[in-house]
Amino acid sequence: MKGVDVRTFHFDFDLTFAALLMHPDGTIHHTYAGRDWTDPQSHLSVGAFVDVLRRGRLDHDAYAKSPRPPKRQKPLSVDQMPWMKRRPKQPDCYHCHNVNDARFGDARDRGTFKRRDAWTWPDPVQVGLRLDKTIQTSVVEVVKGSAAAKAGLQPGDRLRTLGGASVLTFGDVQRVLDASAAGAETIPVVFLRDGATKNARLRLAKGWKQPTPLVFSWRSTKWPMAPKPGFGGRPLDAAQKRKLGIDKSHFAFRIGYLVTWGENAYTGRNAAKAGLRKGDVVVSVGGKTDLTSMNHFHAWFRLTQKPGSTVVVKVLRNGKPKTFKLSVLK
Amino acid sequence: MPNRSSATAILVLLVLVAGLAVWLEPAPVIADDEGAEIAGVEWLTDLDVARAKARESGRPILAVFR
Repeated sequence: MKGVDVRTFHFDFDLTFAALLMHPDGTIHHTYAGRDWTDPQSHLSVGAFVDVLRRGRLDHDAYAKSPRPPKRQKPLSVDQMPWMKRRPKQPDCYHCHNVNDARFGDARDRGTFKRRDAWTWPDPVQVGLRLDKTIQTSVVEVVKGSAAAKAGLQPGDRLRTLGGASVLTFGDVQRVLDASAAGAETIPVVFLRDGATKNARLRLAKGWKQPTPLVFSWRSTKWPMAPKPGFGGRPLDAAQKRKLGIDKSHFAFRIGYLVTWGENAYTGRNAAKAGLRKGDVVVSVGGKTDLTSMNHFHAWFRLTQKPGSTVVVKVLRNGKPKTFKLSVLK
Repeated sequence: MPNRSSATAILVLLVLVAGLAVWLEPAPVIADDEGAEIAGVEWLTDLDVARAKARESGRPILAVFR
C-alpha cells in the first residue's frame, strides 16, 4: 500500500484481498472484495469475479458516455499518515490493515477516536441480507425481523441497485452501506423477483452500523480497542473437551499467555492479580459459553464489557473448577 | 496477512482471473500493488501509469490489493 492514495483507492482495509473495477477518473464501478467471520474467502469466488468483469465492463462503458468525475481530494497514503511516520521502524511492506492502524492510531493520539469509527463496511447481514457466494446479488436468506425482512425482501430475490448504485457484489453492497449514515437511515433497493423489477426501502434504525461481536470478530481493528482481557490462548477441540468433561457445544480455551509485554502489560498483570494462570482452561467468561473462536472471544470482551465492572471467569485448573473475578480495566 | 492456504487460494484465483481478463477482450488494465507477471495480461505496479493507460484506451482499471 506504500504510496497508494487511500482516498481514491478506497476499500475495506481490514481485508487481505480486494479488487476495484474503476474508471481512470477515480470512479469505482465495482468492488470485488469482502469476507465474513467464517473465512477470509467466504465471499471470493471465480464466478463472482467473472460477473464483475463482464457486467462491470458494461457499467464502465455506460459511465464513460457521461462521466461524472469525483471531486479531487488531496492524496493520502498510509506511509504519510502521522501515526505511521512516528513508528520507530517503518514496515518493509505496508499491508492493507496498516491503513486502519494508522487512521485509528492518529484519531486515538488526538483523543478523537470513537468506537463507532470502527464500524466500517457493514456486513449485509446487519440489514438482514445473506448473499450467495457466487451470484453475490442473490439473496439466500433474510434475517427474521430485520430491515430487509420488513422491506419484504425474500430468498431468491436478486439485488440490482442499492442507494441508487448498481450492485454486482458483496463488496458493492458493503460500499453503499459504508457510505450510509449511522443514524436512522432509509436506503432504496431495486431488485428482481421472478423476472419483474421491484422497489423497496430498507429502513434502518439508529445504531444499525454497530456489528455484533461475531460479525466484528475477524477484523484486526478490534485489537487496539479497550477493554482488553489481558489473556488468550487456543480453543480446545472436541476430544480435549470430552477428556475434561466439558459440554461439546461449549466454547473453552486453554490460556496460552497473559499479556506481559508492551504497552498492554497492565492487562496481563490484572489477569494474574485476579488469579488466572497460563494453562488454565477457561470454560466461561461472564457466563458466556457460546463463543465460536478466540477472535469471537476477543471481540466479545471488547464490545460488551464495561470498564470499572468485574467479570466472572470460570476455569478448570488441573481438572478442578475455580472461579475468579476479573476487573475490567479501561 | 492470509495464512498459507489462503495465500495459495488467492494466487490460484488471481491466475484464473488473469486468464478471464484476457478472454474478456478488451481486457481491463490490471494494476497490482505488489506486482505480478502473468502472460498476456498487462500488469502494472504503478497505479498512475495504469490510470493513464486506461484513460488513453477507454478501458477500465482492475486495481488489485492484497
